[in-house]
Amino acid sequence: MKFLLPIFAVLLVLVLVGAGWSPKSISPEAGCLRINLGTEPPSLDWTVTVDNYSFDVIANLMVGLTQYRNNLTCKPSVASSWDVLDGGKRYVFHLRKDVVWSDGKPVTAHDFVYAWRRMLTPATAAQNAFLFYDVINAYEFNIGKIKDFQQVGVKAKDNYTLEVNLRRPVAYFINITALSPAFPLRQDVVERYGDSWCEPEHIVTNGPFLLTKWQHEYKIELTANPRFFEGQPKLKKVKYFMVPEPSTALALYENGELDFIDNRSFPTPDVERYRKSPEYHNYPLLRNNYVGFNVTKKPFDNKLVRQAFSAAIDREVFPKILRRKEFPSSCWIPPSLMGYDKNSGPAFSPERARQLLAQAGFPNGKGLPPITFLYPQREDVRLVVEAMQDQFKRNLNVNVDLINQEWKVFLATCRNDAPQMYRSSWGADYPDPETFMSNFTSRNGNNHTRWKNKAYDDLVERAGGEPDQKKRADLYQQADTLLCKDESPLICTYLASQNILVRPWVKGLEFNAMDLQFFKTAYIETKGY
Amino acid sequence: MEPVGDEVVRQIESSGPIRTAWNRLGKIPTALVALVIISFMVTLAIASLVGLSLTPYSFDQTSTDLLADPSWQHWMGTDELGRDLMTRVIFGSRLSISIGLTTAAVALIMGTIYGSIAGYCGGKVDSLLMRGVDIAYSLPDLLVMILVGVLVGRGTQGILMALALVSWMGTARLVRAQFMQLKNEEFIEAARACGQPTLPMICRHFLPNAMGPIIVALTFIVPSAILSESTLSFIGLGLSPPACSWGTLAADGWRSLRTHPHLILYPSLFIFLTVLSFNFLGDGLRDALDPRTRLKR
Amino acid sequence: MLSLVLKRIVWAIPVLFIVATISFGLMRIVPGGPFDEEKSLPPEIVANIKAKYNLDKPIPEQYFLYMSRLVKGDLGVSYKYVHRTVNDILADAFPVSLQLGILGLVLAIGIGVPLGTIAAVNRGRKLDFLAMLVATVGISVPGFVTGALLIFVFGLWLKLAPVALWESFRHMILPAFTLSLSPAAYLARLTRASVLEVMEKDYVRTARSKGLSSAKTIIKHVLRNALVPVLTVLGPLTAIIITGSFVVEYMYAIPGMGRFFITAVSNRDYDLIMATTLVFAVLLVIANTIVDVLYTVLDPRIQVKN
Repeated sequence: MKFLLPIFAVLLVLVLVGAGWSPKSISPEAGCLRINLGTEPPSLDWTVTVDNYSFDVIANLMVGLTQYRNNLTCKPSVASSWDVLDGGKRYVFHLRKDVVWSDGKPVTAHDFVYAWRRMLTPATAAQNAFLFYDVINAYEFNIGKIKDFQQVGVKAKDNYTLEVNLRRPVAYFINITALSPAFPLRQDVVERYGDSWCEPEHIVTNGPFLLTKWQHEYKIELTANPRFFEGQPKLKKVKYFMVPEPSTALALYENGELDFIDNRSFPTPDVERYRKSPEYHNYPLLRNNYVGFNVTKKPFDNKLVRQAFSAAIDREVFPKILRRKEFPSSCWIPPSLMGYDKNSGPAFSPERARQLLAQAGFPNGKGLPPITFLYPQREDVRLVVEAMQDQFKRNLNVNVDLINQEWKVFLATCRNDAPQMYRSSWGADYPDPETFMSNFTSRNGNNHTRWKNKAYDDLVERAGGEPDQKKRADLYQQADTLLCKDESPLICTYLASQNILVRPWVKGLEFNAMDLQFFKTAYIETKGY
Repeated sequence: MEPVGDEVVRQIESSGPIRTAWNRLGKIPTALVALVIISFMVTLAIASLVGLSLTPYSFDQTSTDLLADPSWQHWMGTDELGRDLMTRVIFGSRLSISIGLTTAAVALIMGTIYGSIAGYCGGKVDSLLMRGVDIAYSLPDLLVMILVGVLVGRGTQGILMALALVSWMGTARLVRAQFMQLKNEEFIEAARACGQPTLPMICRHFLPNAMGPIIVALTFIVPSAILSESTLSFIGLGLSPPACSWGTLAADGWRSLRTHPHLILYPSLFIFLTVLSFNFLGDGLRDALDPRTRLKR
Repeated sequence: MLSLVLKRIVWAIPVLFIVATISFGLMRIVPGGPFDEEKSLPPEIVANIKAKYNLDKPIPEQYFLYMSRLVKGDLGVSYKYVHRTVNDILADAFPVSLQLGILGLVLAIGIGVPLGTIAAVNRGRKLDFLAMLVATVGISVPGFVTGALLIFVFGLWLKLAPVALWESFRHMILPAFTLSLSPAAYLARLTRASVLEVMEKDYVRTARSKGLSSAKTIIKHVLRNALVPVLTVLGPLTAIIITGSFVVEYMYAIPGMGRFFITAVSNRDYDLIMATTLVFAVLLVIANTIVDVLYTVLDPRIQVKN
């Protein structure tokens, strides 16, 4: 049977070569943190990029005026101190003199001005420019109405002093300075290399790590920056792999090839399996999920119908079906931010829901027009909307039609002509209730509910400028109640949480509610592993 | 593949092609088992279609018993929303089988029209149309399906169109080959010389000769369509809920292979058995229709 | 033969042209655009972005611009990966997919052809049935299921091969093997049919009756002729491999073209989608051309005379 030979030969080769792979016991790679980024970051250009994947890498390459602590308060970074003047309308930042770029040149205030100018320049088309619209003339410059950047309220008084003028007092403005679009930029580097300035051979950074290798679609390597002003990080290297499929990432982790599984890389079915493990950690995440109503379309032009639908949902079911320790919440502001009050949102009450619906003129669901419930293609979203569809049927005797669209199509639909109900979510841009509450103001481009309420707008506007923390919290809480209990242009469902796996030899890793991954304090313990 | 030779054609014609094929098919054990399995699946599909419920549950009936392992209450366990998996698999048979059969039917119609025009007209028309087939072959299946799926939307029509668009070429070639061969038959040439219209004659003779290979080709389109549908679901471009097919069930349960294997194993098992059966049936039909194949007595 | 190759190449150009046009048209008709993001932009900014990429021009003008760039070899830019041209992206990804594809093809032939031959030689007996069962099973299971099973069994449980990534030759084994299963099964079935057909032929019977040992006969006469139909399916085989690569590259985190084709479609990254489609089309056209050429060269009727 000479023909068995080729088959055996092939299999033998496979086995032999494969057997050459004899994994040692699961152990760390000394001085190196290996993690999964998920996909190729679209761009490391921190002025322009909006992608979470890019943020993760940039967070370890760069520092800005301020920096987040783990409790998401801001501490000084490049700016050693700042003065808040004119009732909160003027900020003067005093920069440290010892922060240097990776090529040795000092970081100056001019680098910040250049970065902000580039970000606000219309041709750059930076999607995060809106975060800076409170700076005087920033919006006008960004849409091209003003051509001279000298009129915009950010100036370098001297090499180490940066002055920012706002058009109104903004209580949360310091948060914005910790975000990547506010990071400084080297004009000479960007102008010299143009589009490829982010490549490892050209890029110039000022943070704890340097970008040394970028194998596109595959791997990014960072090495410790000996000139980092807070001291060289203990980790020698960080390796980001790009494994798009979470279950493959978990397999790599179990094989000892990854040290850390972040929330995005953790496949849902396995969370339960690891819950008791010491390697498992769970943290809240500032991302709130909701179902919006298009209040210009019947029957959701009627407030009572909206309230009825919101009261008909038992939110406790969501952590059960989603299995990622979600936090059910019927109000919009997340628990860890000021202004949160769990009573700002409606309680689950099917009786009250039916009552409201009857009051609105649709007793027992009779007379309602067909209702479309739109959602983007994603497994966890599918489970949520199917569960809600089921609850509407059981608690209100109402049938809603589920329609599913691909992500880009979904976004376009919501923007142009949102259906009666659509599922959405919002991740905080910065750790302040403003980023959540501003979504539903009348002028906001993300407000696909088309709901406009002057009282709400006023509350949010006042809260945005209120210097007194307690008064501020109170204003936000009032706005939240108006939003979720009273007018209810949305049904808040649950807050996501982070599920993380970390190998015991990774020490000093710190987590926060915005899933910002800072590695400058981490190190690998090789003794005993 | 060589077209079926003349003597063979006459042999088939003389003893009634269907009866012969059927007899011969009966002697191939794998084909018989395949037929049994296919009939079972089709029965499930029809039962689901007419609303006959074979289980005490409805396919969208949620419960609090989430992700239960197979038990006496739930023979195949439950899914993330507490829905009985067996009910959903039976419900899924309806969509999967109909997708498979409809794709074959549509591919048949498209391919026949296309191939008969090419074969009958010949010359430049044929050349042009065959270039079209070349173009169709130059695009990888999945690519076309993804692009069409995105264009037409994720409903059943979109998926069907996408699947049919990648399956018609084989049939077209077969039909064309038949037409070309028949065109050159002596009795057709004689008729043409007498001024008689040849088209009706060709059509009358087309069916018995071509039917065999075409049916075999169609039998292989069905499993291919079912598999492609499940791959599309895996990528995330397949049917959208509430449509429930074996493909969507398998794709949904894929990540749970290690934790709740029943979620992926049962739908995959049904896909596997159906696809396997159609493949064996196709093999059997091909052997049965080819008189040169010696069968076990 | 040269004239045949040239004729084929000349025919390929309009084919590729039409493929480019079709995919261009498809992507422009599809709803949703590359710049629809979760956070809304002021309309002036959106207008700026579109102008930058010529997306504000009428479609026929966009088409003309695209085609003229294409002819010069400029495949465009990516909207998502803002600082990379499509040429760069493909230059990185294509070699990876090529390696994976070729290895998968080699394995497929190495498994499929012997399997089919064994089945044919032992026709009607248990071994035939078994081999064909294995082959038919191979084309009856969805690729993502086998992939998951293989990663689990060989990667995690038996720890015989690396689970994913593309670091060394060893890393190519599991993905290439997963990729090869479906075409191997397809080849096995085809080889069996083809070998059987040749074995029936008179000249083989003559050779055997002359006393040539059965193994020699098979190798010398049967395989050479039986492999002809096998070569003719190189086209469809390439297509199967390309299709299979989408799933395999995604699951094993391999930085090839198939993996980002799907994300490119989701992102409506027009130029990237078109370029990938064209590359695949070119591969298939090349495969089909090779087939046509080989078919003429290896025509069995010529062989028989020898």
